[in-house]
Amino acid sequence: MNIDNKIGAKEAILFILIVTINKIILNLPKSIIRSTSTGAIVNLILTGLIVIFFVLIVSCLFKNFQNDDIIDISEYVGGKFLKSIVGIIYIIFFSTIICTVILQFISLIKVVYFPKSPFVFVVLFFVAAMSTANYFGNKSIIKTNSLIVPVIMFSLIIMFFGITNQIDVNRLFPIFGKDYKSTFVYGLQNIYAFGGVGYVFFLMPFLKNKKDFKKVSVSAIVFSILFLIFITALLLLTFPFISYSEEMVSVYLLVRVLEFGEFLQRTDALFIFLWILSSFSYLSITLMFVLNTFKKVTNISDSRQMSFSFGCILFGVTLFLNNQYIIDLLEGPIYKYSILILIFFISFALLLIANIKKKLLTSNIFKKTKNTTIITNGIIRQK
Amino acid sequence: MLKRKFLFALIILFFIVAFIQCYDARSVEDLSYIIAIGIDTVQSDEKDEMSDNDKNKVANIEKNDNILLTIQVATTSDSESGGTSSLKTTLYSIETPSIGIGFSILNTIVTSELNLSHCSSIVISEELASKGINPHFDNLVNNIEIRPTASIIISNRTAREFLEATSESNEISAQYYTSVIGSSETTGYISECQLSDFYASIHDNTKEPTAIYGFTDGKNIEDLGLAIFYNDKYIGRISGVDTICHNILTNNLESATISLTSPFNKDNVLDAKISLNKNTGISTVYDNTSQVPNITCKIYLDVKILSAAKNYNFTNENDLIILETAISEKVKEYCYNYLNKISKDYNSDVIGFYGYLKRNYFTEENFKDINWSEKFKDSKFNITIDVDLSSNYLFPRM
Repeated sequence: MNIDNKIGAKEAILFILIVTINKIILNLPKSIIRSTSTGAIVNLILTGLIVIFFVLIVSCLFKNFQNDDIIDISEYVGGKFLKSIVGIIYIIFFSTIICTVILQFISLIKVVYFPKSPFVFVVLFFVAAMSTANYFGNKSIIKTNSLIVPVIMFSLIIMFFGITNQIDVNRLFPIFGKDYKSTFVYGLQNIYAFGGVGYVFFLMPFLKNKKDFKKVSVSAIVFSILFLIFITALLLLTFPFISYSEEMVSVYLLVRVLEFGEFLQRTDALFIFLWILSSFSYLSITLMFVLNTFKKVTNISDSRQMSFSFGCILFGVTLFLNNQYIIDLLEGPIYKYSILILIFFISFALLLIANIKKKLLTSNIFKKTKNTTIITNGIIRQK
Repeated sequence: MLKRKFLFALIILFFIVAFIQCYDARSVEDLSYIIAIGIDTVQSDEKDEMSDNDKNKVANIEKNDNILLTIQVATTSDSESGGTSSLKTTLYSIETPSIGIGFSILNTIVTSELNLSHCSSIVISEELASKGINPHFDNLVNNIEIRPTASIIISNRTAREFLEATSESNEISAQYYTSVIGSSETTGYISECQLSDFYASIHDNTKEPTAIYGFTDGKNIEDLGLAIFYNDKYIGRISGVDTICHNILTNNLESATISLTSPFNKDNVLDAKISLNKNTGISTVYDNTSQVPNITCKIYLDVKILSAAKNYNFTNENDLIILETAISEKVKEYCYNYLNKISKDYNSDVIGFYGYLKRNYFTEENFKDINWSEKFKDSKFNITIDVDLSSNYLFPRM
């Protein structure tokens, strides 16, 4: 990785946060509320703690692989074959995310602001933006993201002040939802809400200071948890029908009812503008990971040249998948089980196996050389 | 290098072209702004002549009944320098099976495209509201253009007459309905009822919806009291004084004026301005033994005496205590009357006491056996009022 593409701790935190922010905008809180009802807050606290614990373990395991990401680790575990398999799986995974995000976002803005615009043009708009951003390099994407994310975070927080008239605290009760099982047992599946953890597995090579990895990953997850709980609480407090309704984008309903005094109403246009910028940033980052993974799998020197090629492929796939049933499927069970299986199981297992393998190899080497060498004060002497 | 610059310029040009939306741009002149919507049942004189047998079929017929959709469209605008702009309005009515089709047909009648962005009021006739407004209401809520802050008004006469009274007798401003309803801040006789709140209440099992009740005599309009709903059906109205109690219990009271007999002289009437000192404390507990909900309300009022008369002395501590007690008893009487009306007469939990009951349980499983719609009418209320007599304006003693 080129030294110019290295990022600091704050940039890395914002890098991972954009994932959760986009998922929050695109109905993630609604999915959680649908499964746990008013117990969503407690469920998020529980799953958040589990994810923090998971991330702490991951950061400990990454200490032995200070310049590697999950693709390099899979090569260490199973050679080039496993590296190719894992690489291809991740490329498909990230590409699916890109297509799903584009389709979900377009379904919102076409209804609200572009009812007469052809679908193709709106998709082209998104695809062209992310391909162009990747063509100009990783650094531009990361720097732009560092500007956009704080603004989006601020806008989400400011929503609270415009909604105070609509809030009814009684809508948060009962605090554990339908029953204990759905909140504490079946609700554990909601760990998929923290899909940003997947990007943590690719973070290490980007960091300037490797020691920041633990701080960055834990901070990003903590902020993600806080934002998710905040928006979920706002939805529960404002809309009593949120547990069983089928709206397009729940957060859009929130911004529609925002009022700042008598003179500031219907501020939803401003929020949608910010969300468009946020989606550009997220899509650009995800495409960046696709290109980096492709580069490692195919051993090409410069992946930037592939950005428009991948853009064209994703454009075609997005047009092909333009069907509400498919969007719901991709956004729902496919995304959920992909995160659970790929991130929390396969990637974690690979990391664990790699650490065990390294430990075994190191101890074997030590045993082999024990009879022939004495290590004294760092100087190896032959016996 | 040159190739890169050329490519960069091409990309910038592409985005400039993509942002240009001239081909479907709409300016203010291309749109007709609706400032109020009215929805009525279609009057049918033939219904009065139906036999009982036929009347039994009315329920099925009513589902297919058309509605009368009336829109009040802003037509001309005369700006006055330094003041608010007033405008003339035109009413258009159409008989239609649904609101969506009604707007489509009205678009062919009105010269410009209809736009709901400035609709501040939705007036529904009492007759239609008592049949249930959900099918028509969902259509409005699903509309992107309409403001969630639009007010819901139930009219004693037809909605068309209500809109005619505003349209023909006055030159109204775009904020007319908002201003009329805004008077609730000083009188307490009406409570703000917005589209978003109404829709949320229809789908909220903890609270029943309410709407503003409007009177019209054909020439003027007056908003007074609240229309009480059970689910989406209008079941009755409450008076201005009951609405003050409603505002007290829902923490929406800015200020209101009540009158009571002076405790010092039975021939005199005292006017007192009341406002909330603190949020009203409500707790609901379900007594499993008697199978009855016990509802406790603690109200904190700040009172200012408006009346000033001879032989009054508001600086005397004993007199102040007597006055506070009298005011407390008066407000308690009003509140008990109101709560008995909504529980025993209407069985409609418009305050949301069920929501307070839910606070006592951890999961929905724990209280699913309490059938609130059946139990609410048997509720026992206990009200305590804390009065803080803070002022008497210009003359404390005469």
